[in-house]
Amino acid sequence: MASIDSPNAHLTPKETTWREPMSALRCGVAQREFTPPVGIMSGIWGAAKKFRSESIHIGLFLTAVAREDKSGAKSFIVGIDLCVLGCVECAHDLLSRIATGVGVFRDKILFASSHTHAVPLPCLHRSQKEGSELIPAFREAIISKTIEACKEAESKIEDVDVTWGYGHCDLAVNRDLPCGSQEVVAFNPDIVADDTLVVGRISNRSGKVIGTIANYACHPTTLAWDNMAVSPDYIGMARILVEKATGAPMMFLQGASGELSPRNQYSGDTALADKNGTMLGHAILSTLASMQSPGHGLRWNGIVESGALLGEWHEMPVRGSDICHEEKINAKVRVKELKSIAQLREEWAGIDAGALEERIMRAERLRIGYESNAEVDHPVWVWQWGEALFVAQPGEAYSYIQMELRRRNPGKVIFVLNLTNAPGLFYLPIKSAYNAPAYQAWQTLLAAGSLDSVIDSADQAIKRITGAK
Amino acid sequence: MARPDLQPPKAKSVHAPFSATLTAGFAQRVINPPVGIRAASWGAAKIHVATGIHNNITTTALAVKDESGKFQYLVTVDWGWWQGKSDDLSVRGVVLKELGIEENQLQLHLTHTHAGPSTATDVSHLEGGEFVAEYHKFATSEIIAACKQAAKNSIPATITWSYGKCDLAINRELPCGEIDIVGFNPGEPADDTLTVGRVCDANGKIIGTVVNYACHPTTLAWKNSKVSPDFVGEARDIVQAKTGAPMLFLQGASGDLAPRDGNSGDTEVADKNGRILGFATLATLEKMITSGKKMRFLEAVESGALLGDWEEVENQAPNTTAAVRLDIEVPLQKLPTIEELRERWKEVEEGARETRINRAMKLRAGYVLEGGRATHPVWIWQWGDAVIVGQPGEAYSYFQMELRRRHPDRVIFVLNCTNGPGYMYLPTPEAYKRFRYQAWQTLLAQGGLEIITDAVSNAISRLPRILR
Repeated sequence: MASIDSPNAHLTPKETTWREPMSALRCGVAQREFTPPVGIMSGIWGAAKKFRSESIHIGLFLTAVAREDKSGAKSFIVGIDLCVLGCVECAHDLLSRIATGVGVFRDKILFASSHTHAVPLPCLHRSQKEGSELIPAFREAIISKTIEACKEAESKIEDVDVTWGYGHCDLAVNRDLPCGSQEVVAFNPDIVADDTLVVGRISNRSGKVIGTIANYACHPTTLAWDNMAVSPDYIGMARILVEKATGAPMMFLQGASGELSPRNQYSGDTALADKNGTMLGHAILSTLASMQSPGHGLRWNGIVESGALLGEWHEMPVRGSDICHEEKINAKVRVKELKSIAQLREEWAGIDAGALEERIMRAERLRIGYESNAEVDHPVWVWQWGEALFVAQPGEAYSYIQMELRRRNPGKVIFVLNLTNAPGLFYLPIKSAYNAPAYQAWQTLLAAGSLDSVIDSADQAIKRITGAK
Repeated sequence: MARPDLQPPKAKSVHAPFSATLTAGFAQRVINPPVGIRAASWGAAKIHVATGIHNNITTTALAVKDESGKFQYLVTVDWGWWQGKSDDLSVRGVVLKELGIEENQLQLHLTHTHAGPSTATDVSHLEGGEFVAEYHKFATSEIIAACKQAAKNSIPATITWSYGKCDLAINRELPCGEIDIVGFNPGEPADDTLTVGRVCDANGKIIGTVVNYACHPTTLAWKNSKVSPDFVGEARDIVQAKTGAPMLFLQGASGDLAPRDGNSGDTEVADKNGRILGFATLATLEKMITSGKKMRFLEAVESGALLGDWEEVENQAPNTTAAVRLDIEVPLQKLPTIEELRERWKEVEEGARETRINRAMKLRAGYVLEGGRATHPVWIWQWGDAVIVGQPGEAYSYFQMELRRRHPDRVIFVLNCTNGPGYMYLPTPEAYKRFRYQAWQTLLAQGGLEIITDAVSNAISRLPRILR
């Protein structure tokens, strides 16, 4: 109801349209549950005394989003309630079999673990304790259910409008706590954690929400060594809240959370995981509520003479970008001087035998394919889906990568995924973590400065793909 | 295996939340007006009476005992704004008298909905005005009842204070050529600070929440004719459904802030905006530590990694209270006489012209003193680690951002539309330069906001300091 006869009717802003970052894509979404039977070996905590799971807190799910490009070729993003894929041998086997089953090249699937620490490890080599007899079937279920979900998502592909947005969530805190001569993995109140939440809402052309994507960086370590329940950790309750409100599957993608975790954690109480999940779930719902109607932006409608001189914006149908590009790049990184396994045994001689063996097992399986001081490729997938970018890599990068990529590319919505595909299943810490020293710096195989190389490579790829300077 | 040798420095081994331990009680009353009552917030509206009720109009009272044993009442009402001191005192004056309290014991706050019933006492001759006096009498008695009930409900309580974030508000000062108009400006960021207090009994049960956020409740505008608390209604419904306790909403310094989706006739849009705030409030409540607790570093543990465990332990929350009232001398713009106003609006139809002149004079009454001086009242209450700053104007968000920036050691609630007189915008210098509506509505000259900000900040600095 603009006042066309107003003497001020000529007043117009410089920009007369506005919209959120949006994409017009062809996508389908599907979800599968793959909760293992109670009794399976679960959890990956060195401090744990028991390994056989005793209950299910919330079921485990995987969610697949399939996209079809103009030539009909398909690509997939899969978010799954797993911690890590295990050793590189098991990871390659699992990813190859899934790709074969779905019928695409491996680089056409981003297989992203949520990083919950309260699930079985789908690794035949590292899972050796009580309850490990159920691991092979669990691995098979992951593979078959992922293939099923991808195929179903593919079968549901339709024209969709995706609205992308940043929000905030205060779940994560910094977890590098200086304690005398070294840093301990614990809440550090002195350092502010990145609170960025990235959300995508996928709607079909009828305006119905068919799926949501949430990307947030926070270690799912609410549940720890005292917990004997299989659980997606905080992601479980967040997903329940969001899916209840939207009526559609939510895919969670773990962000660059190398040094981020919940403030209240290391618990045996699943209610605490639910509390942390409630925080994230409500933050996602707030961000979703702030979005315009699916497939709509705003258009300047003119001046209204009221008590004040008002400007009116109206919603209008609008299509986002359909420009898509997917590529894998290899960031050149250097392996650090690796201590021999014997040296590690000597260094850790004083600690509890269980924790020691866990560490040695991890170290042995981690270094397959990596030699001291060698230059190696760290794979990074940079995918542009319309007006959103996905930057995914297998390591556990510090939040510096997501903050830096978003700072260097303002105005772009960038999802940053840790723990996606393989190889490279180790931390990517900031340089100061090596001096601290922090756990992440002695766990990783890479030398200081590797994270910066990965960031520079990803940033160059973003700019090249999007044509930005 | 525990590693007692690894500890953070002693000063860093405890993390206490912002908190307070006080005697506090809540009460809430529904004060819906009759359909047909005058509801005329918008000059562009064609209908000036309520044709229905979208969501409940409420009043919520929080009574807190100060150190002398007297109650301080923080009261919110889902109404718009006062036009003048006589309207304000027709309610607030009665509340003060009936409660038998001094003026400085009450902060009576309006949430600033633009879909509320008329707050004016001089509209009985206008359509729907015949319901107003009786409704105000009813609402006033309910506000008094809520205050009494809140005092009666008061118990030893622990309050946890926290900041969160909410993306509902956008900047609403849109450059259009030489001037700025009131409309969504995508080019300017908005302050997204959300301030929340969670009040719990000794068992940790929530007895009420206090939510402070700056955003004009202008979702519903001239095309709406239903009475509504605007987005505050749905936000409150969401929070109260989860906590089972009253939520007291306090409008922040939102002179320049509004929802992106606004100026609507659709109550679903108000609900959608309310969901943004309601869910953000719930997320902020959820991040709070267990009531009455703080965190203490427990020990380092050798696991796959070297982990550090924190535990929750009893916290001695501060019970400090303080109250300060400021009357800050402020510069005024050159105020036109009645004759000059008649000349200015000579083209306007006589009835509308006299209404505008009447409003202009009501705004001045009791604010502009002898000799053309004016003072702006501000009430500053300290409740433990929190400070409640209430004033009658519509301050720009600069006010709250600046106070919070200068005082990071406290949680600061900043309230517009509280008590009176001074029911006018407190704009930034840019607003005067760009001929914004807010700068011609206000009586204050440029610089008034900065003077008030400095005076309030200095007063906060003088409040009792709490060692954390």
